[in-house]
Amino acid sequence: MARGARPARGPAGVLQAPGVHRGDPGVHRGARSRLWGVRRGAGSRSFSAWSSACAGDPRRRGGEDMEVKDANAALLSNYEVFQLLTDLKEQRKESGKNKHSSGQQNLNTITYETLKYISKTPCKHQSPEIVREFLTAMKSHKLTKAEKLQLLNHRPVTAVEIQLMVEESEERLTEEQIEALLHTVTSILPAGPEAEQQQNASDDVAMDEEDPA
Amino acid sequence: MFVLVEMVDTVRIPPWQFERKLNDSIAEELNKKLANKVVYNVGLCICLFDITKLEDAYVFPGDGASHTKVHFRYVVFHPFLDEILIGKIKGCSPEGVHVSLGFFDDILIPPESLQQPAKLYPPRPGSWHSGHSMGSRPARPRLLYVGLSPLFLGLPSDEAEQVWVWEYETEEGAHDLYMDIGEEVRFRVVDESFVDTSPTGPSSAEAASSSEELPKKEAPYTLMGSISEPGLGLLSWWTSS
Repeated sequence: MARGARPARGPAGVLQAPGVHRGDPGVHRGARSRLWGVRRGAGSRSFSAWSSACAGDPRRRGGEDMEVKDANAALLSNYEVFQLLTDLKEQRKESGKNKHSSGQQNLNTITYETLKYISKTPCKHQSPEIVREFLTAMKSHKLTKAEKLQLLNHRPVTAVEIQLMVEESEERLTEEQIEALLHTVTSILPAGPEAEQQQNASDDVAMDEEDPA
Repeated sequence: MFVLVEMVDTVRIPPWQFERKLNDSIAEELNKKLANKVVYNVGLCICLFDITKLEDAYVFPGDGASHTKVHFRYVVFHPFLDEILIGKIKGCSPEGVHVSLGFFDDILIPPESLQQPAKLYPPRPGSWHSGHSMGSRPARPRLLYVGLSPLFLGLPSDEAEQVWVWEYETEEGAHDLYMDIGEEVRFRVVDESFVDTSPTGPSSAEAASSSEELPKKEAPYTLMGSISEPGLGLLSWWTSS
């Protein structure tokens, strides 16, 4: 018997106690005070009325499934996902203890693989300022959001790649515009240290050749 | 490549986790439920982006755990149509070229979407492949293969190692550009298909077990790609050095 509950024998001889109902094995007075969302003083004695006072009881309605409100709320660039996963990895490394439980294995796998994939793209070397600068520079070229996203993710260096990513580029862009676009992309978006080293090496060679002249 | 998807779900936190911060428990539960899983008609879920709204948590009779309705946003892999992606060749088969992104493996480039003309090499035994191998690699030592093909030896032809080849015509003759395993390819997404792999009810399960056949495992989310445009295909085909 829960402390404080004094069953009164009603006229029908049925054990009655305030707040406790027959057929409710696990619930007693102490637990009731922990129930959130139940109106205090719901004095009704019948099980169905009392539990429907608990708003949003999924089991009575047969369970609420997961619902997708918007399957396309926003597009994310590879850099944003890279940033998110790196931060998540840092956080989980700090907390330490529960990474290896079986439930977390899926998250570990997918973050490891996705991070591995994105690290091999030029997105690794971007930063929010670079992305902002890139988008402002792109305003003049009048490209769609999807096209700008692809340029940001892939960093094309040849005209062929631009033609792949920009729809109907022959009609929308002249050759000079394509050249200008390539120049904007390669100057603003970093390529990565290995590619820059190669670039510097070829620049040095060119400078040496000019010296004798 | 990645999109943000807004979802609503009820998360159950068991009582022994009540000491932890609610947000952390909920984030962990959501990741446990959705990470690395395909949601029908949505895509491959990667990880939780943020929690937008937490509604009141309720405890229900008979169950000591708290149930919280959560509005959250999840990062999902769902490339849009005609997007350009770069992946690695995982293998070649008569169905086409199988490409993988590391975290997502079910990408297929069917034979009609390869750079034409293309063919599968080595061919069936008995027909000798003619043509110059002046292309990107020396001739493979395949004489041995053709003579002792698995079919010839009575082995199933699934064990035959085959690659797709682009027979690139120039004035000098046909170059054979091989699509080897492990090479990076740039391809365009042309189609996607979602299959509902939820378990079926008891009646169909009985029929399956009585026929003593393992049901074919279908990938819940597959992408079809194409490399039939200039600029697409192996990265090494288009780098100008």
